[in-house]
Amino acid sequence: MIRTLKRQVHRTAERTSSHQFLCAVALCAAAAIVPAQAGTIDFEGYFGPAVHGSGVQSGGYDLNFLSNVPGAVVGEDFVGSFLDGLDRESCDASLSCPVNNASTYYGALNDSFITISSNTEARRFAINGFDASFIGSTANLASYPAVSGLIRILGIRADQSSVVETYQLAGPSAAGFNFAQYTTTAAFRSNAFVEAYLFGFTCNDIGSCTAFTSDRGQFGIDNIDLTAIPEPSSFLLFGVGMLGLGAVARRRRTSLRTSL
Amino acid sequence: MKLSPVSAAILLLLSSLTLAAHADDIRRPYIIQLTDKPIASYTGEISGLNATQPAPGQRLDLASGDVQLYNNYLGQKQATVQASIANAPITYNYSVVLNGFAAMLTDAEVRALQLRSDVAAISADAPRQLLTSYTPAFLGLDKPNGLWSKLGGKANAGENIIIGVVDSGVWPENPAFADRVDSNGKPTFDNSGTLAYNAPPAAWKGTCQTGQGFTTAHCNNKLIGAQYFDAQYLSQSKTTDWTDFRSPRDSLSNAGWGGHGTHTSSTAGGNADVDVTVSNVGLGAVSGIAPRARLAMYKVCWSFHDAAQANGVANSCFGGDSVAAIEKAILDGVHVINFSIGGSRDSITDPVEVAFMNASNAGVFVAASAGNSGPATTVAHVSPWITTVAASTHNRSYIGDANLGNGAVLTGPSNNARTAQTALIHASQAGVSGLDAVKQGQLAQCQGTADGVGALLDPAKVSGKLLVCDRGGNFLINKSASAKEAGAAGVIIANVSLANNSTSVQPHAISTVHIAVAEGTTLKNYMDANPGTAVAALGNVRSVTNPAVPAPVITSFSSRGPNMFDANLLKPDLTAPGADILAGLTPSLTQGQHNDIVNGTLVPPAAWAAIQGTSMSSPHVAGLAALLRQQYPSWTPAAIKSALMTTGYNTLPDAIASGNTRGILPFAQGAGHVNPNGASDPGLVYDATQADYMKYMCGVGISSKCAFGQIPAYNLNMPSISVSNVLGSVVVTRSVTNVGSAAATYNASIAVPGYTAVVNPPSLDLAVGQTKSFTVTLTRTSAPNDAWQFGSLTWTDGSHVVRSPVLARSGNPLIAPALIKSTRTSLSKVISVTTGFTGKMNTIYGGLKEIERNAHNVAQAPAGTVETVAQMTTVCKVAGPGVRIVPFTVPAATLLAQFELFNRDTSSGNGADDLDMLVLNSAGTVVAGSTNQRSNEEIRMPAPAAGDYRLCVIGYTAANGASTDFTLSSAVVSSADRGGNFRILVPSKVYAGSTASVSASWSGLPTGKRYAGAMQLLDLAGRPASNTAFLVETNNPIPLSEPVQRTPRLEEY
Repeated sequence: MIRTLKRQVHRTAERTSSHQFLCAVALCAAAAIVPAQAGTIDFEGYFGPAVHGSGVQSGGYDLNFLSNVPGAVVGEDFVGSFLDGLDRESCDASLSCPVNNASTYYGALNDSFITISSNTEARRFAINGFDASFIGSTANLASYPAVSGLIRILGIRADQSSVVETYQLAGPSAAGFNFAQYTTTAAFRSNAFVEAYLFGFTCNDIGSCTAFTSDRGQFGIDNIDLTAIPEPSSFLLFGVGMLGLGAVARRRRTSLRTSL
Repeated sequence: MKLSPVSAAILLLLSSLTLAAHADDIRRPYIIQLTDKPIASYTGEISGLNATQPAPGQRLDLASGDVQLYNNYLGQKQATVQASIANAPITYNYSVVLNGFAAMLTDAEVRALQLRSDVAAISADAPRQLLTSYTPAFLGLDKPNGLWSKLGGKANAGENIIIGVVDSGVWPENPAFADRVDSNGKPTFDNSGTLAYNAPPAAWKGTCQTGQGFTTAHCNNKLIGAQYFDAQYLSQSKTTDWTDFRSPRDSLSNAGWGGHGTHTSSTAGGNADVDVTVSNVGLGAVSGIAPRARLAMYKVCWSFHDAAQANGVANSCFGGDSVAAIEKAILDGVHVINFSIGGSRDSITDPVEVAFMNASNAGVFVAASAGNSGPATTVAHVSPWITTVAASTHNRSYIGDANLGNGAVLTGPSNNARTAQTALIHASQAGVSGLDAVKQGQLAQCQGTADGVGALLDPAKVSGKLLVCDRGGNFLINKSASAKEAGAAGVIIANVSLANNSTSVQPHAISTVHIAVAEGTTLKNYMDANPGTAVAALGNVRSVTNPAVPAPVITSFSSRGPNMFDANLLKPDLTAPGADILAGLTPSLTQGQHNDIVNGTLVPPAAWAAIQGTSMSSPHVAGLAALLRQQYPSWTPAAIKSALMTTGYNTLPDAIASGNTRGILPFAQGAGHVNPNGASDPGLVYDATQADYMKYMCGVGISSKCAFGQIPAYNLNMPSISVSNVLGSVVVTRSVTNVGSAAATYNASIAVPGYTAVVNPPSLDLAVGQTKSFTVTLTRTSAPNDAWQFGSLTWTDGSHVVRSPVLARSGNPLIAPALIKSTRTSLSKVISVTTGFTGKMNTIYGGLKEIERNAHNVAQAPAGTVETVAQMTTVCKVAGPGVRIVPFTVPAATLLAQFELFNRDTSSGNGADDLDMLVLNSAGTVVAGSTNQRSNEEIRMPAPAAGDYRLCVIGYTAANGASTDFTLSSAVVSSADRGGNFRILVPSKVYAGSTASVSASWSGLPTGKRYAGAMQLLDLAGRPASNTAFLVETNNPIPLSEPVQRTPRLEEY
């Protein structure tokens, strides 16, 4: 758990008519079961690397960690790691990991993404906020622009329509990258999702940001604040159940580009 | 005494008891660094304690309240740490250039300290070795408008600048250190002379420490300080040789070590117009580079008995003593430090290097020797805050004549030829009776007691004659020493091989001329034609400037780059004269005369000699830095270094025609040969300060230095650019400051073969004092794999030319760390690798596998048989005396083979045994080796070819003179080896010109063991493209002292 100064964030919200990623969960290889914590997922107690198709259960939610590459091998391909912010050895000097998180967080690495869904059938949820930091792929702090990356959340509603919101990840301070607290917009927060996708962009110094093309879309995430929303419809119950079932389904890869 | 079997058995029992007890209880010397910054670098981060780092151009003021408060704070912290190891003898406390202390610790105490969060580093102390005119004119210092004239002439050059020399002591009788002049203006100690120097600068806080043969009267207004540091040395319980003095006085030159500090200090800042006499031959006047500078000697090097040396005497300079000396020098208020002592080749956190970083933060310029182990890649002092100096030749020398009885005149280098006509005799005809064939060969080369082979020359045949010695087999000065011992009147050293036909001036003990092969043939023909009647005389020593001799040329002994710690930082930085340098030395005296100096009844003579080494080039740069410091009092050490580098010029080709060790390459000459008159008006400088150095340290993986963030090594603002792996393209950043007297527009030009190189912006408008940044983008075009390319970047405003070497190399399509070390029983680690292709990257990995330990024994090799790698190879091939062969097989697809020896795993347990290792393949070719001093040896072979190998452990020195037990630690790791849940994970896909994160994890290892592992990453075609070794030590490892490569005992200079 961390507490950082609330940061003024720039957000873009857009609607998409169909969701761009449909990933089914494969193997759920959670390393430990953590007690539910009122809808906040903080990754405490987890250790080690995450492979394509692995996940954790926390606070009544399933999180799954996935590669965006076709043919990715379940249980083999490296997509992320639980990192102890106090343990400098867990992050080699060849990277720039965040320096101000004194707890365990999840590092989504190599252009991977995270899916969130409730592990109660058909329960919908709202996303209130999270803590996040860019993870740099080289030691050169001077090489990162003021906006080093983005996190984009794609929320899927029960009717399969979707909403996107994007958050800027700041460049490093003199000491390194820092976790900041992000709050979603009221409009975004008002949505009831059955599933959400989180993925990262890397940005260059002329403000062009790319995802899924470099293995440099990497971010640390912690304290994901979710609120469960009651009264699911029976129709959606079925849909979510299908999603949770687990065969590796069709997956479309897209290179997303945004202008800031 | 003849032992009865019973007492022999008891002795054996006792000695085995000692063996059993030695492993953990031995106290060994360490230097402990604590986490707080030292005074010289503290910038006020702690609430209530103000910054103590001096502002640019300011001296550290120990009397200031802020410094005293912070010093008290550090003292309390140190006391807390020391209380946790209450039984440990503390040899030094440091607070100025290092926050910490030196102590003798047991393993248990080291482990106790390792657990403390207030301890930043524990380093085993590594003893270092000394690296054994007319050069001011060669440098153009005395030209009209030269640097001296800009400072008010040589009568003012270096005025009130203080040069601190950390070395072997000083010979205070040398007029280079006098503060009076006689009626002719020549330096003198005579009290009737006129005082030429005022009192030391007011800020000077140094002292004149008394001791054997040294009183406060030996200091004066020129030699303003002299101190000695020996606590760490004394803790080693060595027997000090009688030629040394427990005082700031330099040791006698008898044993071959003394005089070094006298030479370096008189070169850097000795008086001008000092008349030099060598063996009663006048050689004219010499001057230091900054003749008006004040000098302070900090003696840290000591001569002691060492059976491993041919003459039984060694000399070492311990890190604990050096750090104490550096600390005192900063406190005393020196402006420049010269350190002509060996240093680390692969660490910038060695305590001496760290002390120099903090000295630099306090505004003190440090010049250090690159090393004398060239032309191999052996450059030392690889830290960016030090100016590391290579050695090159100049074209002024001394020659003398041998006048043969038939009228022929043979000329060669000599600074002491002075022998009246007498009979000639060749050494091969002058031996004692009964010599075998081997000894007969040594006789012809005038080997003798100094070479450890006993007296071979027969005084009855040699006395009063002119002895002819063949070159080869030993040091040149040992030939004249043998001749002197046998009573010869003079020596002619004759070269015998065209492959080794250089000639040089050396500090010979008696009148000597050194001639080349052609002259030698003339001489021998004359002797053969006139058996028993051939005569010759030596004389006519004169100084020559020989325009036919191309100069400067990098010397063959000067250590080359690339920097083994970090190839993204060019070392050496520059070159300066380091061959045939004439300066003060110490005389060779009897033990009785030594004792008379100690009891004050003898005022000894001064002495001079021409010697060579990077030890001699470094003080030239220290002297130049003193001059620039005088001209620009506010310049940082980095600015001074930049001015010296960017105005340098190229050396001329040496004898090496190809490869990376060529003298003309930046790996040998750095940015080039110093050009002092250019450096006094460089136009632009590349500046750097503490924050830049810390970012650099963080970027190279020193996580305790990350307070200011990090940069990749190639982005440190150095006046040179080196990028060790350009995968596609790389952007390098630099900034320059206009130190000229007017605003100027500078335009860039750059060229690097095999790359397109673009400077952006290509033009910089700079006001006076203004700093601007620029980038250099290097994009690979035709550069072949793994081959360094050499180019240069030049900024010019029409009058100033600011030149930097630019080096680039492109290698494999994957870059991963070579070694990952950990002490964890479980760890999950993310590693970033650089990727040069798009597609699937695969991995093969093996381990973690416990490192095996096997007991062996090896005898000490006969003296002189295993000095060089070539000799060791010969002995290893035939399993000759003094080596232990351990055969091993490497199966196909092996990922790693590694072999280690440790000081603590030999019979003495304390480093007194010196073992070395070579690995030979089935063809008998050496494929790997480790030849450090003492027995901490390590060979790591990534992805070795399959086959049968022989590991050859060489008993270079056994502490007991006979043999030593040792335990060999070894591991051969393949992908079939799995342990500790070791797992490497790679991403689904990687991208060209990008990076990727890789995971390495293990868990559940037992404590108290050592494990090896290996990770190989494969390119698109499935070929191995990078190898990473893992070393996981769950046994609370004790830090090893930094390896220092052993130098051959017999090395011919």
